Amino acid sequence: MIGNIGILIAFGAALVAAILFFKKAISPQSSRSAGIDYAMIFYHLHTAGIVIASIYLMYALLTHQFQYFYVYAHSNLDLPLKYLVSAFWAGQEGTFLLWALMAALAGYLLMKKEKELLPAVMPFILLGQLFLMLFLFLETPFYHLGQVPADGMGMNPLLMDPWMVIHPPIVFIGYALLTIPFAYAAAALWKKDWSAGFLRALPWAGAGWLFLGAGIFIGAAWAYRVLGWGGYWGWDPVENASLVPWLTATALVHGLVGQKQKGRFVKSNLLLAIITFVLIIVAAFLTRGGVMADYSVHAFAETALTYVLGIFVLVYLVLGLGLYVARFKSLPVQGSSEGIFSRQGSFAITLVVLCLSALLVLLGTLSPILTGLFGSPASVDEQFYFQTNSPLFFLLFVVLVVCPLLGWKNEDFKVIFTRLKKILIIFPIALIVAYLAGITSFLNLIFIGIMVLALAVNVVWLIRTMKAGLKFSGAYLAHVGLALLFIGVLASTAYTQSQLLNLKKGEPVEALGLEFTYLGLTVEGENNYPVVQIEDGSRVTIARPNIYIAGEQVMRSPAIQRNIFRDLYISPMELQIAGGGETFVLAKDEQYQVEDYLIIFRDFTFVSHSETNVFEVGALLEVDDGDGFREYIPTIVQNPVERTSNPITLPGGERIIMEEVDADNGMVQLSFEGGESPIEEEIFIAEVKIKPLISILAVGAVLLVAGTAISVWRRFTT
Amino acid sequence: MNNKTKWIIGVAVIIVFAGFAFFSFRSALNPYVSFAEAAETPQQVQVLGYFVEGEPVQYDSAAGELYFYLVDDEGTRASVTYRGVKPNNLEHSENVVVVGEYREGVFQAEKILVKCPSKYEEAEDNR
Repeated sequence: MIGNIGILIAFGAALVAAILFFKKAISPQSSRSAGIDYAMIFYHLHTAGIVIASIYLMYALLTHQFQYFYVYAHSNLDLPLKYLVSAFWAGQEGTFLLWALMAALAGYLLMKKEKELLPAVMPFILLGQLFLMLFLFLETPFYHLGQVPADGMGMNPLLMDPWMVIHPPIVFIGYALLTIPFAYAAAALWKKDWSAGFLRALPWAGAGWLFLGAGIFIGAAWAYRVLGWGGYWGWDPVENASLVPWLTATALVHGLVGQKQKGRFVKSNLLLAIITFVLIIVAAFLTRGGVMADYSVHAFAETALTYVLGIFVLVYLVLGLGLYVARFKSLPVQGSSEGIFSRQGSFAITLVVLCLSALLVLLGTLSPILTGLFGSPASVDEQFYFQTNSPLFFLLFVVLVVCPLLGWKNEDFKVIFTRLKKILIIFPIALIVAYLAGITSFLNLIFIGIMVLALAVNVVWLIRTMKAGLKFSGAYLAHVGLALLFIGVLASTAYTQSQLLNLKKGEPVEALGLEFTYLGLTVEGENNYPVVQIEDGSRVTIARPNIYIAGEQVMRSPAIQRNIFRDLYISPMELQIAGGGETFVLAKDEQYQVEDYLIIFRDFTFVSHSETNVFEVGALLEVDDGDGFREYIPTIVQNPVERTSNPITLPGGERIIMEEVDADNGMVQLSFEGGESPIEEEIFIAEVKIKPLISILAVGAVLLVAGTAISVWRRFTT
Repeated sequence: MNNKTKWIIGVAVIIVFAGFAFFSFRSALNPYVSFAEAAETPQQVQVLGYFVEGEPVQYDSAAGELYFYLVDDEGTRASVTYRGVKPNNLEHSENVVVVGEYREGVFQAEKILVKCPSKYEEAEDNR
């Protein structure tokens, strides 16, 4: 009740505040503060409504109010505090509330900094809030079940990771902050204030870009550490949907810096500010609106929300582009006054490359829908993204090499070359080192060379600018990070080695230049740790991947051993207990003679315990020991974690073990073990991967975010 | 370089790149099909399938691959093999998308796409 009232208040107040700000904006002659004060009161009321709803949802989660569906579906009594808190954003409804909360709070910072354009900016922000409130009416987190379940369903175990606690809030802070450049662009077009007024969007664009980027990296780190398949990026619609606006936001921030320095890129910046926020809502539309439901296993089903989300996209697109087109003729016309060997030229290339890359990723993401228009739907695989983006990013790295050497005015190529000369030696060195490290592909070598060169140039300039103060070195630090990040991406994408291992207990297996020995299973509560010893020359380490049951699900978490050069990534698959005797395969009614026994396989027997996820399959055997036939049923019990055999014992003490089932062809694989010393073997199956330079990638990501943060801090303080 | 040459070079680069992107797009496409269609298509495809009750995902240690059964929307049942790590949540996903080729009566998956965990809960949302 309280929650829904909060949302209702927030909706009403946002509507009134938007109208008041709008009225103020169209009547500039009256005194500045009069209309604003009323609008502010309603803005406070709007924020209060959202805060009340948020606090109430948090309270309901912390105190286990399972009568609310949202609380029931995303938490339970056993959940530790930090995950109870993060259950707030474990579902769709909560994330919309979080988004609205972040945007409402960001509004306060904006009101503190912006005075002149404020009345024209605020209606565009409040309109977005109205849409978010509408989503919360349609899918309320306060849906009442009408009864109180004793316990909740709990949280998805994959979300129970510290990274997943902070990932959604950071992404939504990014979304909320990127609303502001849109509002500035729209207000600037409306008020024809695109030079000074619009430029004040720079710190906001920078901050939104920073948070969105940090959110993407955190999501990638989570995928790598938790999902267990060894990847950090899967080109999945959900991931792409956040990457596309990040790319255009990157272009926007660079364009705004260019505008601040030289008054250039005004047209592109206005368009980029509009497009970036529209792409963010498009992302929400694609992944939550059900449009991709048939093509992505990640998306939601189509609901009423789909249409409202679609309208949200259309309204912002039409509003933004409409204003843009209406004012296009009055926008300053800027010829290309400088050539490409100027900072301005390199910024222009950067903008084009980033926008093209965003467009290509968007095309790939939309491929099932686009192809669906012309025939049967199809989607592109990873190949497309790599192929089309690599020439673009090659160009981007060339720009990264020359950009620090350039001034804002056009320069002679010779001058640039002299500045580069000393550093250029790093290029052949990088090629030789990479070649000796085993990289033989020409294209990859060239890529590595240019990236290392970009790294070197930016490191040199980073050190130079650091002398003037950390504050001015943000861009170079970010570019050093970017170069490291891409070196890591290339190495880990193109040069990961992997092998599937069957590790019999106690028997060393050589793979990927290492020696793996499965030592046995350690069970601690719900966790099953297959302990693996790894010998790397003289160094011996122990890895403990985990196979555990959480609720009804089997989870496998990898063991990762890292050093600077490579990550050793061990994904557990399964544990098998197998016999070591004589093995034979029988179809129905076939027979097999082993020692003194004649064995006939008649049929399968099934026992299913579906609620506990345990299946038991048996083989009905008739065995003649020279004394007439007797029936025996050895079985296999498969539970999600492991498979065990229940052998039968023959009169002479020998055992028959059921090993494999081929139900389709009615065949069974059995093994016969002598009575004297039955040998049983424990086998741990795992995939091991060596992924080079993951640490470099991680360091690069951290430096990139740190550099961005320094730059944003500089833009906010000066 | 005068402006006209710049324009010509610019347009030429755009056309070449657009063509390159288009062909890359075309060659990277994996159509969504049913198992019946997959059996007749000699290229890589994707099939959305549902697990069969009572047929657990099993691992064949001799062949080094996972095998399981899926039924598609048309009700065709196919056996699927996959070399690689069993994705988390695999057994508990109602449906999965397998990407691969249908060869010799078996769908040989190169990739298995499983429901993203953050969206997983929503599937149980049966209001």
